Amino acid sequence: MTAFSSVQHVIELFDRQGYICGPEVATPVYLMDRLEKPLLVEGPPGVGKTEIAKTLSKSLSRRLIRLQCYEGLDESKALYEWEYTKQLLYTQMLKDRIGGLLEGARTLSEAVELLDRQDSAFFSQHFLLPRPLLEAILSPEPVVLLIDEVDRSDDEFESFLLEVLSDFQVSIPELGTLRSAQRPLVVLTSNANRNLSEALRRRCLYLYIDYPSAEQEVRIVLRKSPDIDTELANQVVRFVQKIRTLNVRKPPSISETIDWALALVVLNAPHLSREVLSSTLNVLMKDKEDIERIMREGVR
Amino acid sequence: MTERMVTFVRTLRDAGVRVSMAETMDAAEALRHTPVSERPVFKMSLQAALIKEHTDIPTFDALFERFFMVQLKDAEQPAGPETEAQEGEPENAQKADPDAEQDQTGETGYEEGEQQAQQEEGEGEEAAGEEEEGEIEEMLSRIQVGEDTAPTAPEPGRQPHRAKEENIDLYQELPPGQVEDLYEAVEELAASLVTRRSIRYHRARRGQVDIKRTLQKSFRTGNMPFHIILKRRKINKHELVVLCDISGSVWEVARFFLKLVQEMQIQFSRARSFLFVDRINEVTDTFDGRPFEEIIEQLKDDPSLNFFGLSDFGRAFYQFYAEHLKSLSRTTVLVILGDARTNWFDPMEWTLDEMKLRTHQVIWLNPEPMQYWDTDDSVMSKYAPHCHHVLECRNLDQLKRVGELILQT
Repeated sequence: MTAFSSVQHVIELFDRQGYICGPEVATPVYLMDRLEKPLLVEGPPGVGKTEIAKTLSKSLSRRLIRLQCYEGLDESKALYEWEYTKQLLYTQMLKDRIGGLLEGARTLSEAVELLDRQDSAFFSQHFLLPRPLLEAILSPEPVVLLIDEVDRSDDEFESFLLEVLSDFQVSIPELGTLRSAQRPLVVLTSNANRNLSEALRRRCLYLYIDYPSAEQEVRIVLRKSPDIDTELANQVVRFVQKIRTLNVRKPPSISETIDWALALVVLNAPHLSREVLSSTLNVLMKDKEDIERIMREGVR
Repeated sequence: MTERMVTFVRTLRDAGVRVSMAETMDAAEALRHTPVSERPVFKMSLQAALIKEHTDIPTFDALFERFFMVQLKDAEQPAGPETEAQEGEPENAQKADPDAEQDQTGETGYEEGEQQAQQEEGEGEEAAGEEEEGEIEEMLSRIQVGEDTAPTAPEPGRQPHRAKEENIDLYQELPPGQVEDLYEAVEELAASLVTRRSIRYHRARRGQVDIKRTLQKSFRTGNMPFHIILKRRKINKHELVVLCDISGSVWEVARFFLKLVQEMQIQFSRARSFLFVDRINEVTDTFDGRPFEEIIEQLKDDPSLNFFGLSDFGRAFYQFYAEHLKSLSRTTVLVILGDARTNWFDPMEWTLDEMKLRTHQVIWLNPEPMQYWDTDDSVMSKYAPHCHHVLECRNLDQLKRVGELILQT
């Protein structure tokens, strides 16, 4: 089952959700669906990497399952865990039943055998606590799986991920192999904190998103902050783009540009001036030294 | 059409982009789903399937331009008045590119390409019958540009000299290309060291059941052990302090060591770096997220480092002793890199002894060949008693051992 009929279709659907993009973003998205491959998205923070997955889920009305990666993330947090407490609780409550079950047993080994036959009752999907990956696999309808900031996870987890992503099935010793009914659309994002392995890259389609062009960013600002004056939007974007070329510690992201534009609208600022800047720059820039520098040196 | 693709992939490989066979097949598959006539879409289809590092994108852009762009433009507007002007372009492009690749020799890549071509043809046959196939075929048959750029002589490849990298003597001036390869090798080395270490953390987290505490806790739940408590193995994170001589010849090795430190930083609770020639300079903050080469360039231009001064170990150590001794603790691993050539200044080895008393480990790395230690103004043997380890460090193999040692402490 394919979700999009053409690249143009992707652009339109995304546009309807307020995500403005050109073919450079839409083509890989279209292809990930056609080729049934995960999409690895890289780029500086705040250019809308995670947003791609969210928009994808919204525009296809598919559920978004998100796995946030961090150092030390392991299988029990990403795939599944046995709900030990629940198992124990049930055993407690079913004590009498179990007693009844074992009544006929004369020896201990016979009792064990009887109990053993009920094994599947204790290790069934009732007691399985699915984590995002398993959830995506078990879901009867297709979902969008977002594996966010995959570069933060450890190398071992990355290899484990490779295994899951290659055929979308997992083996649970007590239950056997679980296969996905529908192939989820998988989006991986990375901030390049760590170099991802060659193997993972090979298996994915790759998309590098950079900051948008001035023209595109103006369109985004106008879309997200409809009340803004076009002239002001142009000024805002020109200013932001200029800052990005300076060597600041934390360049402003797209969402910060939008926040700033919204703030300017709320404050009724007619155009950018020094006073407006000094009172609102902290919406755009989040680093004290950067702000001081911009205010001191100005932007030419 | 498949042939064109393969040639393009081969050219990419020659330009140093790693493209696997699977990726080539993905690209072929992608082209079946996207119209060739839309340039941006066509380009992105190839890029998404073939290019997996954003640093390779400029290379891809340039090659794509040379390979497909001009002709496709032509195809889009066959009867345009500009046709003539555009037809001139391909030739220019050919002549303007006496092709960096041409002067390279070697055979291996070519054969690989041939195999791939066969593989690809299979793919192509399968695809035949698809509507778009005819269109693609037609488009691509027009494309003549870049025929000459086909790699008759592929690059010897990055792989061959890879094997020997471990033994390359770093204590010398290296050609720039090699420096980058070596940086990359150091990166890989650090990654493998860090992985091994993170496995330890992993195991520590998944320790065995702590029976005592589990039972204690089970009293609350009527002796049923609802909450299992795991034993945690304790692993101390050390603090790393690096004191690095950067004068003259030592610099060649120092930068690789600094690269290693930067890559391993995450493994320490804190990593501080000091550089010195005759005074120490803390550069911890300089090592942020920027590319390493950029940082190195910045350091080179920093006048406060007195890059071309005479190294004075005694003075630098004394300054460290006076200003930073308090920041050392029992969890600190102090690594000093230098050739111990004091230029006949006072070595002040007692300062090092003070540091040793306050740290967990003192490791001295000397990039000079061991037989030159203690010749002329080298006072290695004066410093050596105040260190826990003294190692020769002049190639990647030794650097790896150093990395292991630092992580094991």
